[in-house]
Amino acid sequence: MPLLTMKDICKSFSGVYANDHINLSIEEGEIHALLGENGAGKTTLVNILYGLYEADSGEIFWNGEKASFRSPADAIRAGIGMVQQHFSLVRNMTVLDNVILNLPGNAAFLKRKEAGEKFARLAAAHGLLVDPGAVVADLTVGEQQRVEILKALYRNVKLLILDEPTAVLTPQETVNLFQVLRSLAGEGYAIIIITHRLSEIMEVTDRVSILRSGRKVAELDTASTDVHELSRHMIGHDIDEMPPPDIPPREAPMLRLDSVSLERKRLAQPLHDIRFSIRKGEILGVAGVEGNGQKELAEVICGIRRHTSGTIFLEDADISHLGVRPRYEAGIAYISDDRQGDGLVPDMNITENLALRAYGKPPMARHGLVDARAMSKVAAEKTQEYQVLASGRSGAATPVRLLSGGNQQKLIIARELEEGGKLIVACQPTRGLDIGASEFVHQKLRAWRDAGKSVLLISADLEEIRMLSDRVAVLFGGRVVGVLTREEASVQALGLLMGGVTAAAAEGAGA
Amino acid sequence: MISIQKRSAVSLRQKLPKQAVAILAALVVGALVILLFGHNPLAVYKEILSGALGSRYSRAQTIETLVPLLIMALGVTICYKIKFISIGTEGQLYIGAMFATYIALHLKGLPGPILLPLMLLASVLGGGLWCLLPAFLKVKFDTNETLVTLMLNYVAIKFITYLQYGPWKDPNVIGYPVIPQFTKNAILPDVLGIHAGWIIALALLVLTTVMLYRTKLGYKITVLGENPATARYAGFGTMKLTLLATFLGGGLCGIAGFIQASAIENSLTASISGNLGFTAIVVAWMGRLKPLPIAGFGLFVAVLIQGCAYLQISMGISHFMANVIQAIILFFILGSDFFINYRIAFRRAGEVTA
Repeated sequence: MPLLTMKDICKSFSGVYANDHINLSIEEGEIHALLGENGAGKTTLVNILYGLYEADSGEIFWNGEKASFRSPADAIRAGIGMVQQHFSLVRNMTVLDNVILNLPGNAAFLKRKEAGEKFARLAAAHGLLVDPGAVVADLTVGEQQRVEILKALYRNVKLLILDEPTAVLTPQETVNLFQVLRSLAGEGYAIIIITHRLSEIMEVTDRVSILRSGRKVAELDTASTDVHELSRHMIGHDIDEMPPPDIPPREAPMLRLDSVSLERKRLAQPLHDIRFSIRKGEILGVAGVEGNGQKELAEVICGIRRHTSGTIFLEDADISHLGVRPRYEAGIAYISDDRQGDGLVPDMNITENLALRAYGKPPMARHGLVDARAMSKVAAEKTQEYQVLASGRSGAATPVRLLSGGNQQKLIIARELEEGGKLIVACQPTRGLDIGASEFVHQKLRAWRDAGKSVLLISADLEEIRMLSDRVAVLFGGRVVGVLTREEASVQALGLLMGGVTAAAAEGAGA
Repeated sequence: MISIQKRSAVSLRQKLPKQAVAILAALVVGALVILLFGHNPLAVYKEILSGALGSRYSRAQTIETLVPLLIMALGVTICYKIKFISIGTEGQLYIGAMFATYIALHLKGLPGPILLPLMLLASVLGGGLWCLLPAFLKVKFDTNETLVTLMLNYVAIKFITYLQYGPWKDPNVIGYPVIPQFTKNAILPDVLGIHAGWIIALALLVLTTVMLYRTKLGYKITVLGENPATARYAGFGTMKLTLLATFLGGGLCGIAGFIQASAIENSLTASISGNLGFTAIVVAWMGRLKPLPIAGFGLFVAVLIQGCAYLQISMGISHFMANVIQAIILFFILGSDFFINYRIAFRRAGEVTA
């Protein structure tokens, strides 16, 4: 009898299936991987199991009995623990206090001594070395993860879920984590590990379930598969061949990155030795699973972050020392992937948001004074041209947070695609948009390219990358692990690179 | 589960009745407190009004309270616009007054039309620098500006006392140490029976409004306050912008210090603010950081302060009692703000707001 069985789990968010009849079963002592791209439904599935979401339909059997967890507290009581991607530790409390925080058995006075002994036993048994008296804020990310695992073990869980556990770890910490997981499995603990890193799956798991667009597309024994098969399942079958480029790119480079690195302490994802160039009239796609340095790369090119070494050239001029504003003046525009986070000011209106780049120049401003009428006129023209639809009667005075995602995106594009621009850094430009809005964005980017300008298209959507790009660079772990031509950029080739399997390694794994 | 959600858009028609209800509720609760102390609430309210607005003299007094209140409220508004939560109005007022006093005492040979503008500029510099200090600490070392500005209030006030007992002590006055009286050319003249500070306040009201809504600087300040990430995205130079805005905000509070020293005390003492600095912070929030509503609420609060001071004389009600009434009214108005901008929603457990 399996420890856990999830049967026909369905969950939709505003009409879109995040989980579409998913079945999953886990045995004791098994390490089971959930593999899939962003948005494939992995996290939704485990959140349902952990009581964070309620499934629309489907059943969960735990130890052979039908179960339903209405909250993480329910799940933990039953014996299911989860280490989320963003840790839920109290930073200025000690490790031990974090572990015993909110235990059901806690009385008015905490029994720290007893707890400390149990903690020490667990830590020693599983090689999870952390100082129980240390304050969490002083720990490395790897140590904090160990605290999270100990927290779960302390609550006597039988099943441990880890969401992208290695994303934040150094290679050495990853090796340690895998040893811990193996030892836990050896004692009968079941483990679900969410990841997109193919090599890690091969290294540590027993079985793999692969999700794509909310459906489970395959379940394989790790021993009888290889990275090629995994990546094929993850990405899906070949999409239609790409349409040929309308106008071939010119030879002259628009932007060149020469050994650019971004290496500072406390950086979510550093960049290492990035080298590539974009020609005039070219769209260079940047593929990769999110969180592998995409945002950092975009911000380094736009000047929002300063790279720590290397040189950036725009049309052969060194722009490394320039700030955001001068780089924009020089022709670098930026479509941010985070519309409400940094691309727009949600509580300001359409007119004011459209003025973000040009507010200081005629016609919008003269002698330091802002010309509200000129601003409104520009806003009227742009909303017309880019078909930004504001609901309600307030028109261009509508706060942009009330617009749909598609309209917000059009607004950013209307603002960023200026006459004088040369290069646009487009970060996830169609995320969350419907087909119509996506096509609109694609059409604008193509027109920009055909006018002899350049596009850096950063996207997690492979179909989009393959459809638009003249060449494709792949980011993994803050490095460019390959630059492929249009012809070379097959789904398989991209999939392997995105999973961190470089050409040399793939040959080794295939052999 | 109960959650608090921001309302999507608030129209004036939704806003006004709630604010009216708040003021009414405040008056009712205030009346209960007055009853508890054995007074007739209606009579008390009537006395407050007549004490603040009943005579030419009382009206002038009310305006003189309003002037520093309004100027400082505008000052902190600029700071709050960029989410620099300063409570250092008092300190900035005193350092502004100190700089102006320095000019008044050392350049007293100059004619008034030259001396007074110099004092005004000096007060801007003083208040501005006193606000720049915590701003600098914030942008450089990420210190908490609320704590630092609070501490700097005490530093400023104690420093004034030090000057009074030490280096700036008037050698011609025997007994209690004081800073010398200003000469006539260092005192703001009366215009229409009220000191000229009201003209300065009016001018600053217009200037601040224009600055916030009609200039490039005002646009940048709004963006920075609403979403710092977008300000960085657009390359606004957020650090410089923070320093400039806080300097202006502190500078305004400094001007209030100059007016109080010159027109009210004709000298510098450690009590020229009359705690108006803290009240100005409340006024800024009541007016939701918009200059015109701030002027309106400023007047309302000035009437309360002046009227309650009069209560003590006319009805023998302790001024502490007056403070209680003031506090109740402020509490309700600020509280109503919450219900204007947020609504409380009830939802079933398990539902997820996508």
